[in-house]
Amino acid sequence: MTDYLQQIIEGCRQGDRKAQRQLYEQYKGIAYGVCLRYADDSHDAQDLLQEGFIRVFRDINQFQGAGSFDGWVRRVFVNVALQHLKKKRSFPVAAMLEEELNELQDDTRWSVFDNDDLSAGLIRLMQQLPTGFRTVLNLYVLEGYSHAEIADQLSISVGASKSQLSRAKTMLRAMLEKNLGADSIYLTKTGAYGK
Amino acid sequence: MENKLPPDRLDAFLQKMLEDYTPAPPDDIWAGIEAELPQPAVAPTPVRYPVNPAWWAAAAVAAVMLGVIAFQHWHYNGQIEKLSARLELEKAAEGTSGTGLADNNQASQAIIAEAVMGGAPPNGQFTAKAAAVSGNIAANGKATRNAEANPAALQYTDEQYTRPRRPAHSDAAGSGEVTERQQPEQITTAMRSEALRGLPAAQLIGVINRQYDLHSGQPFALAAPSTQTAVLKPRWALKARIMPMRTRIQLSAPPAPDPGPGGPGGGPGSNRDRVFADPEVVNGAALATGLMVERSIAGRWTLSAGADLLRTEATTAHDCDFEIRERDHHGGGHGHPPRPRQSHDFDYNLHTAAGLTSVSLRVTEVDTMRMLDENEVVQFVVNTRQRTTRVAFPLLLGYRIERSRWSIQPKLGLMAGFTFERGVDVTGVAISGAENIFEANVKPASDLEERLTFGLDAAASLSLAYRITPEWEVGVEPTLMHSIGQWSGGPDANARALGIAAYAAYRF
Repeated sequence: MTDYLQQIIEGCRQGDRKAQRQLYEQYKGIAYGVCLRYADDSHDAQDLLQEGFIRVFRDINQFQGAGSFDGWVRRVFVNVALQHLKKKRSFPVAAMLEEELNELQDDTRWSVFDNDDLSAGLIRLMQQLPTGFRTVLNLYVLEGYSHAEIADQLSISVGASKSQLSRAKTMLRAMLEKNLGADSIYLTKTGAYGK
Repeated sequence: MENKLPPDRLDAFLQKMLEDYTPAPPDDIWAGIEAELPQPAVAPTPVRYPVNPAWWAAAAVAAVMLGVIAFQHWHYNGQIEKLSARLELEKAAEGTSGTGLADNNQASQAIIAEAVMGGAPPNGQFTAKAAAVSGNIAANGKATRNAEANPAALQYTDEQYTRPRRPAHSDAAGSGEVTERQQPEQITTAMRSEALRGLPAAQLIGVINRQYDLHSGQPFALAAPSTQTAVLKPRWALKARIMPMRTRIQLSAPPAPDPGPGGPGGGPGSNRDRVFADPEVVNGAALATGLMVERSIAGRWTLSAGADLLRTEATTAHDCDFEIRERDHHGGGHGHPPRPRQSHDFDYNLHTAAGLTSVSLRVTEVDTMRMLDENEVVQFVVNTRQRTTRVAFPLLLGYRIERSRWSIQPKLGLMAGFTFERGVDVTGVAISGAENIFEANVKPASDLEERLTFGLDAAASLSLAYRITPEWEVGVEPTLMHSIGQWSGGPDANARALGIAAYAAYRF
């Protein structure tokens, strides 16, 4: 941790508004990326972003310097997102019917990559996933949680976690294939996209 | 621990695309966050005084001490000069008449001259007395160390008093030849004054006021008992004391607050109009340090005056509650429809010993899954702390009873003082109910400013002292104070303080 970041953290602990603003400016991009992955849309993500930073400033005394501050901030935002999901009472998520999947694919505007960068388009595709699928996909693939940990966090069974992850990947691959066409083969057959 | 499945290409793709993805949020997000954050506590603007009150107290003590010293100097110097002048007049009258001392009063004064100067008596009388004391008086007229160290050296006996007089000019053999009268050494006023100044203060007091009876004019032989000492009780005492105290303030009924403006939380019947007067009693602690001067005024009666510096601190827990129906509306912002409220701003009026103070709080929901009832009541405990500094000037009348080395002295009097009040600090807010729903996340600040008030207290004490040397004594003094009145904007409160002072006194 740099001295500059340490000073900012110390200022935030003392309630210094200037330090809080500096911390916000430094972490708003990372935090907003996390929020977008878990939210249904950008408005929802902005609410999560606002609530998450309030939680960061409130609980910053709990950060004792052990481990990465970036990681601690990410965990705060993930927890805020999970609490937000609990509030919406979206768990447990029932298995999605194939009809719903087909309807979703039909309704999807496959122009997400036309005028934006790939990451933003990918985010928008993920936001098309059912909340449960998206949450399990985020926790497993991007946060590194195990299925047991996911089951504990979301109050579901390990089997449900595995099932939802599998279905989420299937849906996402289908979305990418339809949107990217032949390029998506690289994701499923030969390697990571762009190689 | 569960083994994760090997990551497939989709996992790697997602991680590469999203792990370091840092999109820019809208610009107005920070404004929304800032609105939700606790307002930084604004410290009340301190009242600046040109001089620290502690310096005023120190100056007052110094002035009292200077006055005591000046009075002593003036008082004893005057007595010495008066005594010397009378002796000069008497000596002149004696030289003129050649008939010796006119009366016993003059005789007593002559003894003083004899004792002081060590010379022969003016008329040849009282030589035994002169012999008794001359060993303590040096040839130059100053008192010796022996006389200072042993006040009993100035005692005299019945034998010395009752020795028959001889005529000033006698015919020793009845032959009609008059012997030469022994002439005393030439004594000047300055020499007498110098000799008297050399005496210890206690003996000098005895010379002037009692032992030699210069003022009453009583016959010398009748006035003197068989033995008498020149050592007297000291009349002055300088005390340094420290006193821990417990304070208790009974608050009167709170005044009605001004009707607040309309809007969220305001208006008739709103929380903003309410005054929380609980508790009615504020308990605290104080520590007083000070100096006092005590003077024996008549018999056993004493008068004490001085200055004390008191620092007090009182902590209070105010029980408050708030009805949810009056919570402020907090919009969702960012162009969305208002979302379910998550924060609620409350304004309170707390009735404190320092006056009515308003406190602003914000309560944030912790469990957002739980919907609030419209008539739900949130209960709080607001902890406050009030600190004051007081400079008090006690004036006490006492009655001192002594037995051996012990003395006991009840006192009664008044204490006038200036109190420097620093407002009320809100030290914390705790939610006593529904802990799983709310949390206080705002440290509120009082709106009371520092101020200076003047008050008058009645004081009663009982001093118990032990004299460890003729000059020094130590003691304890339980003291009770009760406020009589307070001016300059202080709240109408009934205050009491009870403490036990420990002191050391130098008596002189």
